[in-house]
Amino acid sequence: MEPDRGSRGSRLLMTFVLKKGLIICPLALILTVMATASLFAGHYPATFSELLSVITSTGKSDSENTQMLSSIIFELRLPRIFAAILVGAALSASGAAYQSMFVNPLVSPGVLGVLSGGGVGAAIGIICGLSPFGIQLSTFGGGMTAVLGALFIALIYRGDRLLLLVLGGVISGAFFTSILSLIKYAADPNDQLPAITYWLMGSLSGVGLNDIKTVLPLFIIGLLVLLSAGKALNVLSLGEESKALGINPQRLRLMMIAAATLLSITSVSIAGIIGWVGLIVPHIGRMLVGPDNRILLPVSAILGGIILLLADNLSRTAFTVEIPLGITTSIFGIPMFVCFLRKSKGM
Amino acid sequence: MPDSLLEIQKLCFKYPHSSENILKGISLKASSGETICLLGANGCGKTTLIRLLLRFMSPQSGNILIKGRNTKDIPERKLAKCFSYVPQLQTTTFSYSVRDMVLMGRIPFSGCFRPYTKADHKAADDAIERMQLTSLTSKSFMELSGGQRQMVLIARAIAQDAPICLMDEPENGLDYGNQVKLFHHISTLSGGGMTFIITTHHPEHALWLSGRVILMKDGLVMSDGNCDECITQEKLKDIYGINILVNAGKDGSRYCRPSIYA
Repeated sequence: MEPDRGSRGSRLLMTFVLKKGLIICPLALILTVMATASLFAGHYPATFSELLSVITSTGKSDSENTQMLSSIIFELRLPRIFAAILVGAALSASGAAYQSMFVNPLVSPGVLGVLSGGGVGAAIGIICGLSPFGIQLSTFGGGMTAVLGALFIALIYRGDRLLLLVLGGVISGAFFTSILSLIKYAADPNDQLPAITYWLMGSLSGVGLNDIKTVLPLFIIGLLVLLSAGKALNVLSLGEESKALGINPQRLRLMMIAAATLLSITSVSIAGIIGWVGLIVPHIGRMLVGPDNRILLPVSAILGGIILLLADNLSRTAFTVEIPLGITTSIFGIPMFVCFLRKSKGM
Repeated sequence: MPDSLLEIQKLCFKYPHSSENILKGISLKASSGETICLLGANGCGKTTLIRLLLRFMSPQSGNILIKGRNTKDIPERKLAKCFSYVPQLQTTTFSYSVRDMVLMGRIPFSGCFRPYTKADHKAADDAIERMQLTSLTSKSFMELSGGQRQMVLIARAIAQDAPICLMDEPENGLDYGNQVKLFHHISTLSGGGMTFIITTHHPEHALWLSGRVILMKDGLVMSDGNCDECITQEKLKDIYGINILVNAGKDGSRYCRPSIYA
């Protein structure tokens, strides 16, 4: 009897690993196929075989057309595809993490005011005439200030920490939104105001390979921390009871906030405000694999990559003029959210 | 004299915005395998005592010692290996499977950032089997009935393998049949050496368990002893302010009956 009972533990462990693999591998495959297919999508007039020859030979030919195609594919489309996947994965994983740690399926990556703070940072950058990289840095700084403001408000008062954090986020977000309105009001309506408005709509059109290289380490750090914290997020999502399971919820939550905020701020700094992805994708993930964050986080990250890539392809190819990505995600995201709320009975 | 498993020394606690102490110097000792029922009127400090034991809050004064060691100095993970906890009937925001809920009892062993080990899976599976929940393993926690949910939380406490299990009104919201089953399971498990400290509003539950009873009133221990000594008409009148007859049936078993229904 004993050997049978001993092997049961390893069998159960194997079943879990297999289940995780069976869900994640096909999704990863879909993402890879979609990313490759996205290299072929665009308005530039070129046949499939021309594009294929440029992609497979990495542009060794000297003809002008091939060089043009090569630069379009490798300098415009490829960074954009990477950016869409990274931003989608980051927003979705941080959304899933925020929802678990705040024990609330309706919170999104903007819960601590990071979007409004990032908006103010970007607007200041635009007004001061900073370079694109400078604007990214000021966006990062603005987002960080808003989150620190929310944490400060939550920490100076006694009471329900979770409620205070959400309230801190609301207060900080509202404050930065009003500052943003003030900056927009004062901005030059000929060039600065349209630039700020366009930035706020969210877009990946300006992302280059160098931007990806700069933000990649931040995305990797944030994603690695969250992907290894599935168990921690599960236990945090039990609320106060989690204290009896051997964790320090305050310390753990701060750590998770740091990782999730790193992801959301980095996303905002390269893509502007992309709404709904971080709220909806975790819900789709839960419908597919349930709420266990050990599986939900990687699944949300990959699904987020797939969905944002799809949305970005739509943004740049559906019409003759490119639509800002934030608008596409909102237009498709809102009806999807209504649909999921109904199907999942509020879960 | 060997150290008791648990010793509470002159514990005092006051909520931040309150002028009066809710616990006014509680002292007691518990040893292995005891089942202790905490009885008392609303607001007498039963739940506060459980929350202090779990270190959800810190006392203003007094000590809690487990095997002679002050729990103030015990890190979170080690403390969770001393106390497991079964809260009142509850809902969760995210509906984890029964297996996932029970596995969470193993976090004190493998931590938050390392995967569950084979031993964790085996311990969770054993606990599920012991609570006869095997057929529900893959079901979602929120789809279960109240009684089944409490059994799952007890299974989690078994998987947590702590010597002391603290239960705060575990019968709250359960139908009569499920209450009987719940206390039967507690009885069986305490026979296996686990110590239970249970707050309850029903003196009958203390009679069912026929273990030790602590009557609390106004933040103090009013009476501490076996259930024959503590569940008496006078003492129940003192804590609840009504007449409750404690009768003995033909088989000698005792039961409570409020005198207005007698």
